[in-house]
Amino acid sequence: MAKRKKISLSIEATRDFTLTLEPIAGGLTMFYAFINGVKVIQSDGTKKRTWSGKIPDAQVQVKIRVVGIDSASFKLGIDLPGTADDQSLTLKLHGGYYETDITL
Amino acid sequence: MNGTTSIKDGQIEAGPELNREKIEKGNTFFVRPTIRMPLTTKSDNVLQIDRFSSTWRGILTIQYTKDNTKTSGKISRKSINGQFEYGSSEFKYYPTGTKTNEFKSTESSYAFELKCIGFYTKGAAYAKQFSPQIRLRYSYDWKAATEVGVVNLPNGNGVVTTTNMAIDGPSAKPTFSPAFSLQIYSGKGSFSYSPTLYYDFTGKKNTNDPFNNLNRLRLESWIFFYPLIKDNSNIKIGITPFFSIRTAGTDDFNKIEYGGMITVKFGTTFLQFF
Repeated sequence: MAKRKKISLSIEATRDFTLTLEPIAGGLTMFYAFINGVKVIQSDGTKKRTWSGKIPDAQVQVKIRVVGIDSASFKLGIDLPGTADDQSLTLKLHGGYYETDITL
Repeated sequence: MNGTTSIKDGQIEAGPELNREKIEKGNTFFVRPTIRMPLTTKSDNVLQIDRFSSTWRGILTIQYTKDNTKTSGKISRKSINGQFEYGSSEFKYYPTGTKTNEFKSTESSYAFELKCIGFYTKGAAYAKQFSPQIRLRYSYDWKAATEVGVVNLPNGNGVVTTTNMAIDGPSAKPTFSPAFSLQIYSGKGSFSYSPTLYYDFTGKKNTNDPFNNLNRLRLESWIFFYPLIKDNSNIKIGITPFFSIRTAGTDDFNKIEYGGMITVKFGTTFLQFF
């Protein structure tokens, strides 16, 4: 279920944004996602996790951290209507871990 | 607020789940009251509730999790889970050894369970992962007596048959079962390891005190394999030897029992064990 949290990501949060993390193969233990350093997803990797909300017009940093077993894979989805509709990437853990920084 | 439903081992479990989360601070809390009932028609997953529905179990689960994971550095979380179960079951038995003379009794079972689960890793490729887990469980569970074969009268051709039925009424034994397990992933390969220790205290029939009777120590050493099957994530295939030793009292088993177990679990992660 999509979660819409009223957390203060910036003074003027105006852009709609949806972030999803979905297990694909192998053992996915934990999904974490941070937007401008604020944790928005903190869930085990048993099913698709979604965060929806508004982000500022200014540059936004998204950090993803995933823990699991060996080279398990998951799908990272980004939906930024008007800019990047429904972008998704299938990614593999490396030695049971994956992290990436995305600038929007 | 969410709902939860599951069907497992011929039982359906359903109920609401009330969540309170402050993810930005790492806190999650939920309360989940559910009811579990046996399916009326297992092949069609149908539950019929009527005046004959006498077996049910209510389960209240409360869980609090504190996750200290930040944008960088170590990943660490702890959760504490409490569960209370209360249920009623109807038992049929035949003290005279004939199906026409049926006795029924309805008994209430209950259990308390407390689990503490930690998870720690550096948050880096090839880093070791650990999850120490403790479980304390007290249960007072009514069980039907073992069925025995009752010899029937010879039929017209002189053939003697037997019918299996419970002669004795149900009985309950209190059990206190502390357990400890350490989930270990080395950071390499598709296997995790789970050495586990159980110590079961089983009391005398129809008393509430689980101590001063039968004690058994049980050791298991699970190895779990996580296959990479596309669109079928979080499958665990486990295998373990077990070793059980009776340290006090008597039971129907040998003082030392040993063997092996195999399991396949779906939709479960490294963290789910007890």
